Amino acid sequence: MHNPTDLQERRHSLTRKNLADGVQLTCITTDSFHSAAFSAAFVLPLRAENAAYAILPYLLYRGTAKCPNSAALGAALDGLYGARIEPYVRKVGESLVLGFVADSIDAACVPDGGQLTQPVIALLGDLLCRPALEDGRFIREAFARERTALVDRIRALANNPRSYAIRRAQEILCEHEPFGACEYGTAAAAEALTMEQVWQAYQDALQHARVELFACGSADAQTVEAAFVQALDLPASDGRYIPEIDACRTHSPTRRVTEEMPVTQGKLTLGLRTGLTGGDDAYPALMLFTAALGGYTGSRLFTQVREARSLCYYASAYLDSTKGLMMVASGIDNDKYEEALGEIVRQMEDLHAGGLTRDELERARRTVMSQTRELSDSPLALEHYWQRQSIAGFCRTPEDLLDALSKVGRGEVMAAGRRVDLDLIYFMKGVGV
Amino acid sequence: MKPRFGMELHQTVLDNGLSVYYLPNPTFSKTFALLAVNFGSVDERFTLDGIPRELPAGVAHFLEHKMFEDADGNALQKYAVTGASPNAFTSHTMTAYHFSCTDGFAENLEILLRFVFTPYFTDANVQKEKGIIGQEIGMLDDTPDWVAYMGVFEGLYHEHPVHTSIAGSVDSISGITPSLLFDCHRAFYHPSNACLVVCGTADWDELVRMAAALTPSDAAAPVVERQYGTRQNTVAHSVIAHHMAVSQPTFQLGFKDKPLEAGESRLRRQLVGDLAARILCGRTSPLFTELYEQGLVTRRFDSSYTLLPQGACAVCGGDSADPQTVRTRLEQAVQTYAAEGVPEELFTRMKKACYGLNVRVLDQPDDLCRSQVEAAFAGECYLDFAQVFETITAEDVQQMFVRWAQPDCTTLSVVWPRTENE
Repeated sequence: MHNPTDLQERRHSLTRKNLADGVQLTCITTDSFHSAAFSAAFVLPLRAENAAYAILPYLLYRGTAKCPNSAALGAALDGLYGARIEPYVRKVGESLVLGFVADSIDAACVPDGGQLTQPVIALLGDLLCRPALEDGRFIREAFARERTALVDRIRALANNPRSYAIRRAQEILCEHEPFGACEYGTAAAAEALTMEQVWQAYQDALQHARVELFACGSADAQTVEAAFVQALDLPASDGRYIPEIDACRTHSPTRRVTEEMPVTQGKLTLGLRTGLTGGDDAYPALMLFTAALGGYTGSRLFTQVREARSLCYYASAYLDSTKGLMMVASGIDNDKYEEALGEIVRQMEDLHAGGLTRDELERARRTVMSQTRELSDSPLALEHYWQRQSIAGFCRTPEDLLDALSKVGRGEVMAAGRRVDLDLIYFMKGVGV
Repeated sequence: MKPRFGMELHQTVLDNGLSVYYLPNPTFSKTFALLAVNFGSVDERFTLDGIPRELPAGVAHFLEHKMFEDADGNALQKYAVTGASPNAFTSHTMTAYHFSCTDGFAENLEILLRFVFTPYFTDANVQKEKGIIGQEIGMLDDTPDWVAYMGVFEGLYHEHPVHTSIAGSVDSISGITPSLLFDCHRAFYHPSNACLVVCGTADWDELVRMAAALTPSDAAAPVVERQYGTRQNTVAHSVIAHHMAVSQPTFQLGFKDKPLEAGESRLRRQLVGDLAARILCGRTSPLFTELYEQGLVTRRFDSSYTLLPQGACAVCGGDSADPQTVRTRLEQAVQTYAAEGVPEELFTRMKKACYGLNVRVLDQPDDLCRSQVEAAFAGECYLDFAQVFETITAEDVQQMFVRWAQPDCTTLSVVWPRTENE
């Protein structure tokens, strides 16, 4: 076992490499952790309807050629010290990401000195490229089950009012852009999926998707690269997808939409266009503006709207780095809609019109820098960070971001704030239970 | 002090009774500190200096909210200046306050130690908090998972206060006064009833010096005797039902277990309980796989084992179109494992997997500190889990299944979709 207290021996290095055209590996070699994280995913354009693609990770998770059913797969994972592999569907900008994320104990913590990196990566490769088949197609029973599961998953999105309010707001906000589509597809389309449709979607993914790979753990980049090269089995391609970033389309004037839900608390959600993405020079300034507005307990939304005026139970602001959106989410009493809205907008305007104090800026800076440093404490957080960076074509390391954050001036933060346009005011009105 | 997984646990007990633990983890950029008080939502009935007290539901949680405020301002705002991320939670068994920071550890620790041991309650600030907590309760009432989870405890226990919700209700918190909060603070927030755990990078000697200087020096703790009601082996209600806006039923099934016996290791019971729950219906278990393939459960399914003062139970659940059938299948599996034991292959791989899960906790300072507090309140050390694992046998797990298999020992709590006319 490695000894994390031995400073001389500790390594931390980042390797980003094209393993083939459209196949991208990000590898972090570090002795910081007792655990390791891996992921492997197909990246495709987000469409108006995504159900035929969204079912894939869950269907592939039903078995591989070597572990042909869930029981065999479960036993294999338990044998790897309870390694977890989770299928996922993510939306990154205008791209749909379908794949698997794994976390396991680090190879250096295996009691009997056994292998872990290679078998986990091999399993990821099998899941992506070598599914269990029946007559040259997916297993029919598994397909039927996963189709139902996808319908359930789509319908269940509305069960959590807090996250659903943000999802609805983004759908309305970007209704004419790919980003406005649900990454899981619609329930109606999911219900009507056929085996042939899904099989074609899988062939499309194998041939045309960009492939994003990630590893963070004690294994060196050569070992990881060799393991992925061995694990993947991708057909020849006539061109793999190149992700697009689109942050510029705006609407004016501000739209107001109210919908009713049978819940107690109302959800007031604002959708704002920033025109800035994680690759822009002004992005760190926007991060500080967002933090000062609603990113932590010292923010305007927390101290003024929540604490001083008791207008809401929670209120926070956050950014989508690949779509150039700022979302403000709050939970309010239904009869406080106008009052809460007025106060949130007033705080936002005051901040960029000169109200941002030097103290406020420094506190926001400390908070954002602290959060950025903490990224490096979690292999899974790094997986998320680097996958977005890679898909969006950004190349800012957490260290670069820290450096930029430390240099942003007050004028730049206010200027970033002035670029933010309020596009949508969405109110999910609670109509009692 | 012996190194385990490259981590050396430092520990001491101060003159005033405060237990202090430090787990160095120099490869992490953040340092995490958690100060926990052995006072949770279940501590509703007790005697303080011989006088019996009965609290309305939700006092521990209310107190947690109010502790952040002091005469010189709100601790959250003090942390906003230092850049640390503070938070707190109230569980059935503890109230915990924590922060993480990447610099200025001493400054942040001072804020923590001061606000947790300084009560400051006024009529105005208590009244205002009722509105804020009322909204939090409203939000919890809108969360189907929470409603199903609380329902299980409502069904499993007759008198044990765990059967009421942690935050209480708008009604139960309405009668809370500053004087009640002062009494509870005096009863439970004595250093000898608390525990400080730090994980990350700190100077141990300085940590101990600060903890001693900034916590009350009075070693004499008030005499508190807690009561949890008369225990019964069977459940209070076999079924608990709620109706909400959900797309399909969501449920939790509870198996009532016997409480810890005097002298029994809490850590060991927890590890055996987690292992049994995983064997029964963890996501790689034979039963979960079957239920999933048959369309009876979805991937949103979890299982856990919970220890309480004078109580213990396993809880598992998720979404299902047919919770009754899932209940029957889970109960049948428990009967089988109780009668026939757990197959060797299944036991071995599940034990290996549970070991791996515990190793991964070492990289999660919040979970690690919380696990250490739970162990510490029982006089144990979480990092001993590897040695304890070596002693766990298939018979231990079978014995636990035998207890879960007793008649009238389960509660099914379901949140059903609301129909049109409701």
